[in-house]
Amino acid sequence: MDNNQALPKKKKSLVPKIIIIILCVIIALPILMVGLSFIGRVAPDSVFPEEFYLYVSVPDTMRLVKNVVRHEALPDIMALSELAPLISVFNQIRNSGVTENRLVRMLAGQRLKAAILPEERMLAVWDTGILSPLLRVLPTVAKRLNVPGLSYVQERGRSRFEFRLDDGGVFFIGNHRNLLVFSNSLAVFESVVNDATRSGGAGPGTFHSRNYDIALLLSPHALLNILESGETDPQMLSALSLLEFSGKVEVSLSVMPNQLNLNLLAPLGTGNDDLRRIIERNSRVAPLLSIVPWDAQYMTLLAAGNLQELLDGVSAISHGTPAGVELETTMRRANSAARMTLRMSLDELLFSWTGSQFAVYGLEGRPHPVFAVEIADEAKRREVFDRAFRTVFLSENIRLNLDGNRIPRIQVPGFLNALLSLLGADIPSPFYAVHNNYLLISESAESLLAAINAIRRNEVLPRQELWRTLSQDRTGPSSIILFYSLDRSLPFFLRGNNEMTAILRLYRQGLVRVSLENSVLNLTLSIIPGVGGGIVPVPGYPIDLTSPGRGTPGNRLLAVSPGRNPRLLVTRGRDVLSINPLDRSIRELRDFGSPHATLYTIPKTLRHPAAGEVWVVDSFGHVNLVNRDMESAHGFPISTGIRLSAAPEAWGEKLFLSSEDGSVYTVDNRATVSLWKSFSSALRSPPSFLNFNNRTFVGIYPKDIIFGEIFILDGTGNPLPNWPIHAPGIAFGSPLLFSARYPGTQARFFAAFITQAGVLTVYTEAAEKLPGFPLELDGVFFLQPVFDGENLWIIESEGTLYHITLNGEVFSQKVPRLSVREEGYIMVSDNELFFTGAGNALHGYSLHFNSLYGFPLPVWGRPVIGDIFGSREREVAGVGMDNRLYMWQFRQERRR
Amino acid sequence: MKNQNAKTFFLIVVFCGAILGFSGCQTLQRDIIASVADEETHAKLLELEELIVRLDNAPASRQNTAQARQQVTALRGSVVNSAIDGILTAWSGQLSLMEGRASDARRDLQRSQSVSPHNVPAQVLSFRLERDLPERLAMIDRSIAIERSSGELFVERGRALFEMNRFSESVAAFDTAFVLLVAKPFYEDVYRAQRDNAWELRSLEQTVARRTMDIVLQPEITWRDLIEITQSETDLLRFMTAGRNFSSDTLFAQLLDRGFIPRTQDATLTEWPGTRPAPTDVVLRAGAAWLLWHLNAENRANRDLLTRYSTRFATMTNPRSPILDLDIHSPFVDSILGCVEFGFMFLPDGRNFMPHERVAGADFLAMLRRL
Repeated sequence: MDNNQALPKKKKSLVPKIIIIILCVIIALPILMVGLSFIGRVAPDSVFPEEFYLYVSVPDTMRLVKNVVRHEALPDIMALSELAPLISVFNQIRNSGVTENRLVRMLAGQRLKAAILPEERMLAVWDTGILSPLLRVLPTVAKRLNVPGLSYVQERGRSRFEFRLDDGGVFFIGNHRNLLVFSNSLAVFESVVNDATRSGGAGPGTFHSRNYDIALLLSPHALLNILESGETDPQMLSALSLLEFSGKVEVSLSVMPNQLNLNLLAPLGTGNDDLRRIIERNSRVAPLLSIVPWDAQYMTLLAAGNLQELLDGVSAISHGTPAGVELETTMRRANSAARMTLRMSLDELLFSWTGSQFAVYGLEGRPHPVFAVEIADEAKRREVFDRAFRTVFLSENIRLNLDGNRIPRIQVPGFLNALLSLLGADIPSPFYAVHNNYLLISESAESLLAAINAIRRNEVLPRQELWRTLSQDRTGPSSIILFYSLDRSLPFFLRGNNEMTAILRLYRQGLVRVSLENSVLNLTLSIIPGVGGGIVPVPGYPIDLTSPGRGTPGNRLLAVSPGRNPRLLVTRGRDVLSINPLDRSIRELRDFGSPHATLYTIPKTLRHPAAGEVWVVDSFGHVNLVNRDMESAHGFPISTGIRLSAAPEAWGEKLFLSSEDGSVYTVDNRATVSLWKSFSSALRSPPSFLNFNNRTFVGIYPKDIIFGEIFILDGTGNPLPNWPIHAPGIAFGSPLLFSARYPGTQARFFAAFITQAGVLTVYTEAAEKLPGFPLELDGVFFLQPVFDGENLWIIESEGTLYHITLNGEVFSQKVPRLSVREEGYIMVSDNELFFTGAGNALHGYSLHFNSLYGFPLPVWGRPVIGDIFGSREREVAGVGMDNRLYMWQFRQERRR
Repeated sequence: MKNQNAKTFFLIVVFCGAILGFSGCQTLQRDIIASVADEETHAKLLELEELIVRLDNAPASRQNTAQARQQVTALRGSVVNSAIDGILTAWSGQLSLMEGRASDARRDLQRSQSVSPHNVPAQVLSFRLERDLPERLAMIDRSIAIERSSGELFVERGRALFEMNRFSESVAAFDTAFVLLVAKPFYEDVYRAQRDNAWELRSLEQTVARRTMDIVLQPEITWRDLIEITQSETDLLRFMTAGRNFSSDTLFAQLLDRGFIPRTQDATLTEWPGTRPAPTDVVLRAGAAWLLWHLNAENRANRDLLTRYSTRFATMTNPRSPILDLDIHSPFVDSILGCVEFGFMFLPDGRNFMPHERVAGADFLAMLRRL
């Protein structure tokens, strides 16, 4: 008995133990794996040789990806560059949220190092961190994958992957302890994976910058090659030839959602005495900055030496260039002229009293800049000015009293000015003021006074919010400061015409600071796109759509597969243009159909959206089915012989063609033409369609002035019960079909129809009129209404916008400068209303009758409004009467 | 004696020097009391701008510009501001140009640009001084590339494009200008008519003949005008001309004889009068409908269209006209109903055809385009 009782107990104790053992294994295995990953770890930078052209370091790859994807200006950058096709990839990454996943960031956020070595060899190394034990199973996994070009090689006891490119190049991939290694050179690859063969050494060196997302070390030779290639300024080249980079140049980049910070560190040396004096002077904090008014929109400040030293430096750089010859000549002439007219050399006139800080800045709303010069010796300055004004060539006019402030002016005496103007010479007559120990000069007394008043009130630039954002509240020692806003000025380094300058110009405001310490040049560039939201032009637009002899573009723009390899379609004479909005390339279908016929394009809906097929039809019944590159489908084009009485329409997989004899035909993608339905009168507008509750509804208005009828049909062409009904008058367009929740009911089908005279009726599926209808609205109506999900909107011919509830309540507002005829268009997008009329203006209104900021826009006809790029921003595209394709984007408000 | 004379001479010199010196001090004491341009000044500037802009529509004469000149002079003396000085000088130049004094205008332009480079009125003056239209347009586009928010520049663009017969683009420029200049509505008051003309002409080719443009812009047209633009802008009369150019009067006679032009345009009459219309008769909507409908039937080789509606009415009991001011027994019933149903013509108020209203050239051109 006891034995029988003992046996079950034994069975019970085993099961929990097994479970516990399994749990321990499950828990212990990852811990063991993580522990193993720490054994024998190799630092990524230790495997790189000391000699390289370029060395790249990414401290956290996932952080870099996340910051790049979240960077607000990224879509604009991609739109400009050859990276445009990658927009969808970045959007997918952003939308997937993978960069926000903590586990992914922990596992994949490791260090990445790469280098370009001599003889065009490259090496990249990714520290897999705690994933390193998994590298051992990589060969097994890779063998099961069938990647074209990838092969697994075992040789001399070691294994690696080889990836062969189409051009014959080979990449070698393998692991070494915790490192995943890539290289295009077998020797380099083996030097990493084989501890014995690696030469050892100090490696590329460390970075001085902190908190960067990506950093580069450039060898001086590589930097010079980059700077000397392309459109480099001759003066820059001359400066480079005089400078020596005594060590590697470090460039680091930090990417923030709405700011980019770039930092460059370069150890400098020179054999030129003039430049050495500048380079070897350590930068100091420039007190002049504290007297620049805070409404300065651009500023250049120099604190690198006194005037003589700066001129000597410029002269040294310009020596041997055409500009240098001109500078020397100008300086000689200026010196001679100063001696002759003012009895003073330039040395005495300028250098004897000026300090080492100079600035020029422009104030908001004022065209004339203000110059500021530090006065090192005020007594000397006064003496120099007095002596100059005592000559016959210069005088001081102190008659101006501006708002209680006397503002002196340096001017040429009247008789001399008259003589000079006869000779065509126009000598400026600036106003000046001395404030503290600075001389302020400007052509505008008003600007000068505004600057002085700002200083008096301590409304100065370092307190300005934009400055603080760009400088991150760290305005340390600087030799040169350049603060700019592209709305007012274009810095010299943005004047080029290459990809880099085009990208940098997307950032409207920036701050450049150059400092020198122990002969190391430190340059920082902080740039922001600029504040504000609303509607902003998309870079690269507008595009001119004209082509000599090809006619003018139509005004009806359509989109194919927006967000997924999108295209915009528009006709031009007998051509159809398919425009890729990302890279702005255009494919054309030329000379389609009959001369003098009207040409139509309709996107084919939508079972296979990726195909992006488009119907192309002319009013004489020629039909083509093309892909987004305008290539005809098999069996097309065809000639149906149908004389169109209305624009064609597409629904399902079919094209609907309305004929002058009252028949409606369909064409399918097998090029089969079938009679769908016949009516006693021709349709003058295409049918309207709606899918609701798994049923298809078709609205048709055969336009008969005596016996006008409205039909609601099912998908096979059979009228619904109680249809057709008598139309209450002649009208334009086809009935609007929509579904809505009528108060107290579930969502139902409705049809709305308005006559030219303004009789508006809303019908149920059973052809009953909703209570409160028909309504008689004032005016003449060329367009049928649209539905916003709750209410109807209609635009009248003289510009009155009507809002009608399903209860029959009417609200209206007159839109200025709007008349609407048959070419008008109205649509609802994202709870906003858009319409065009007889003019080059696209109006945008909220559903509360408020005009949207930035509207009207200069396009006409039918625009495209939606997420065209797939970037989760909404775009507006349209054709203007100037024959250009425009595009704007609705931006969220950017705040500083 | 000599000493006395020397003393006197010395005193006179000193006295003269003192007078001169005193005068010099007085000169120094003549300060220019000025103020920064304030709201009142800006209001006066706006008033002056409106005056000058409205002069664009007025005949050029010194009398018309005199008031503007007075205001320019008055403002110049009271404000020290180089930007405003530049603007006033540019406006003075525009007034000189209106008065036919181009050299004075050029002088003012130079001065304006020297004291206030790139001020908008100076740019406008420089455009108007440039006689070569393509060069003028290039200058305007260069300015707009920098000053995209200046409606005044877009007005000039609209004007230049209109003169170059690029009417669609002219509309685009004017419409952009009016939006930018919403704070200065007088610009739209002055230039709206030109913009509307550009809109009416938008479908015409750049090489359109001046005569066609003139007809299209007329508020009423004759049969002669109508035939002229039908022949120049369409092929609808090719069945009669075989592609050759016939005079409008010859075509008028042929069209009348073949019934394409009605003997009367009075839609209330049920019998044709004995008189013949003349090519110089003004075209009414009823007459336009008749011609368009007959051309449509000819174009489709379907003469049944000419009785499409009257035959239907004949089979109906108590038929009623769907158009309030059209009797079903009118000879025009088929033409008018057909033109409205086919969309060649509209009902101006949604209910009435208004058959006796005159037809504007632009409206008839639009009807032809729909045919």
